[in-house]
Amino acid sequence: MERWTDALVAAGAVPASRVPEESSGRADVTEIAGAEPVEDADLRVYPLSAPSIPPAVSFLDGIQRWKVTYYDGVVPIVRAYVAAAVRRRSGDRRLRAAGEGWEGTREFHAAPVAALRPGVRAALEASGVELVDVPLESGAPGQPGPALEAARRAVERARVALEQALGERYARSLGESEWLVVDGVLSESAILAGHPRALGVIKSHAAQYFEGDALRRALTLPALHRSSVFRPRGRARHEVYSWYLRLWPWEGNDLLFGLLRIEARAAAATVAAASATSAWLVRERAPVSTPDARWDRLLYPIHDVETYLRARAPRDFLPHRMPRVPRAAS
Amino acid sequence: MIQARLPEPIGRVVATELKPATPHQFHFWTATETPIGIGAIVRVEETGKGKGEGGKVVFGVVTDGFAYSDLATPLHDVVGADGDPARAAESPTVRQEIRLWTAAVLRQEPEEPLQPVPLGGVFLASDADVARALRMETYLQGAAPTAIPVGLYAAAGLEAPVYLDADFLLGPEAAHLNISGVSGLATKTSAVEFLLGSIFQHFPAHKGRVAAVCFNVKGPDLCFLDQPGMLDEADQGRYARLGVVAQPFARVRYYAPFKADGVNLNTLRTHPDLTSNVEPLVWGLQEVLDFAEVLLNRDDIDAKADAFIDFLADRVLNREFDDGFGGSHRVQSFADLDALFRAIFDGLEMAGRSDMWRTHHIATVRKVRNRLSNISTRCKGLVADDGPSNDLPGGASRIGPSTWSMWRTLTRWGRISCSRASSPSCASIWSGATWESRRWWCSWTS
Repeated sequence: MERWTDALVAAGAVPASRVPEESSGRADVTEIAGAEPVEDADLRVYPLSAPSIPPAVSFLDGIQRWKVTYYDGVVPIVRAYVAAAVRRRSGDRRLRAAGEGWEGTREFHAAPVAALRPGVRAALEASGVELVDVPLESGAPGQPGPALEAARRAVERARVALEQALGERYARSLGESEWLVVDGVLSESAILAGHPRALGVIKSHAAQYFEGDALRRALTLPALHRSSVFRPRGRARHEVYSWYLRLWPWEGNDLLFGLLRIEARAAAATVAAASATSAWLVRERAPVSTPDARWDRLLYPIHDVETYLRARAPRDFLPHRMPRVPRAAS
Repeated sequence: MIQARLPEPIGRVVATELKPATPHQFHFWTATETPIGIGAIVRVEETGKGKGEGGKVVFGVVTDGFAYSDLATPLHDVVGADGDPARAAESPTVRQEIRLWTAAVLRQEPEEPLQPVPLGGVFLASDADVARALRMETYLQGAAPTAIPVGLYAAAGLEAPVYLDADFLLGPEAAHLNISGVSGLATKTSAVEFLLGSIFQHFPAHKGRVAAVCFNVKGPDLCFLDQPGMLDEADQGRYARLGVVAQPFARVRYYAPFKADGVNLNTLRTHPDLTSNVEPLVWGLQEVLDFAEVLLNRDDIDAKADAFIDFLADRVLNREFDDGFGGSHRVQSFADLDALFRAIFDGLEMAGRSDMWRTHHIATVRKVRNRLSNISTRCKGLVADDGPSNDLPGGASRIGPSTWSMWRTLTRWGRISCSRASSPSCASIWSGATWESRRWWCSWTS
């Protein structure tokens, strides 16, 4: 007798296996951003051509660390650390720090300054560490939860700003045949968005650009295929071209398994080189960036930059393995 | 000769719960491309503790090495290469990898308190560091240094001179020097010859003078010590690094036994240009009796025989001696001794006394006669029955008991070799039983 699962597959369903992060309480808002066709009027699926791997490529990524170090009443005071770095790969295939000046760090306190008592505020200002104000939304004054969320956004903004500044400086110094691969979008920066040899590699897909059949084609790309090039709309501040690329087969895992979205300069050359560029990025699948849980979408060089930055980050931002044991006799 | 220490660190000490640093061992990482290898001597510097103070300094020798990458499991390499080993080498990026080394502590400064090795920078040892690591500075420096250069510590791209203390190499406080090496490649012999050359050039004058007695036990190894050898540029550089002049031994005298014919010297050194410093080595009864305890096997000489040999040496040798049967003897050679023995045996027989002669039992007398006469038979060419003897300078008594022990060992080897081999390949072991075919040498250099 045919099992019902076989019948389901026979009817066209694809097996999958994914425990959404939302199941553990985290909820990501999916944004429907929209897109304009560039390469084809309808989104199509393309096989890849022969790879064109540049002789020298640099990779940019950043990290953020933060933790609550004090409470003033119920107002959390956050200590944050953000860092970004560029690591360069050339003829010997080894990744090395790009050199002096191509690494940045910033450390600061983040708190709703207006909610702090004067003495606490004065002490923070005298600490020698920058104090970033994180104003509370008027709807939830005095609540620690919204204050923490506001602090998280502030830390993320600081990290993005650091990455962007470093990326823009580095892009200006790129050699004739060198490329820069950025972990994240290019469209936040005019310089990066307009650079002919800069690529943005996006692993998260909170923003969707298609609906209906086009969305199905985009999210069910076969392995080692790309979508048509399109122009993303929505939050993009600067004009870029983009396309989807599948690194690993998604069947048996999840729709987004091994799925990248690539951003590059909005130019005809980008469309012409999309298949060769995609083939290059597919070659970056190896070495596999395990044990990182995002290994299916995380290029090893980006993983290497993260490892580098994590190794250099202050150790006191690492989470404790267990809550602190109360002091004896306390 | 001593070079300044290189300032650039080549590694860093690391310690984890699983691989902690201890007072006796530590671990450090280096770049992937590094001159470090097993046996390299390194120096660890603790970062200064402020106030301009330097920290602890530790010297260590590398004993093991590890390499690994950030690969979590081999399966992930298979996945990345799509199961094709050929494609594994095509990845655009090479994985991060580590060279991790284990080193054993040679010395800590200060020595007390003895604590785990600090997590400091690691430097390649310089000449001065090697000297301190091996505790050579005590005899390299000072008003009367006693350092004898013995070789170069070659590791990690450096060649650091190594010295021995003359106080412990030669003289009353000295121990043995043991040399190990590959057999048949002139490694050990070359090392000894170099060491002798170094001793002659560097032995401190305030300790006196040195001469060497060399027993050539195989082939022509030591037969041409006064002739220059071939030295390539690298070897000459090494001599210069050690401050030893590369030259043949200036004052060498060769002593060779006669062949069995008792006329020609048993030597490879027969070229007319080379014979001026060759002379016979001939021992007679005097030399044999002086060192009977090493020339004769202890199994052969019991207390009674020993007493009789002492009697011969003290009361008979080189004296006018009355045999008790009316005969007078002056024993100076094996032939004279044999004549005495014959007179004793004849006298006892004629007198009808067959068991004792001058408190010595006749069996003991016969045994000693047998063993002594056997020496001249076995060592024909070296030990003469008659005629003058010719010993090393100053006589055998100046050579010392350890040299005689060596001599005795050689004679033992000779017996073994004699009993089992006639193969030419055995010529590498000196055999007392085949004097006529062996090139045996004794070289005296100073």
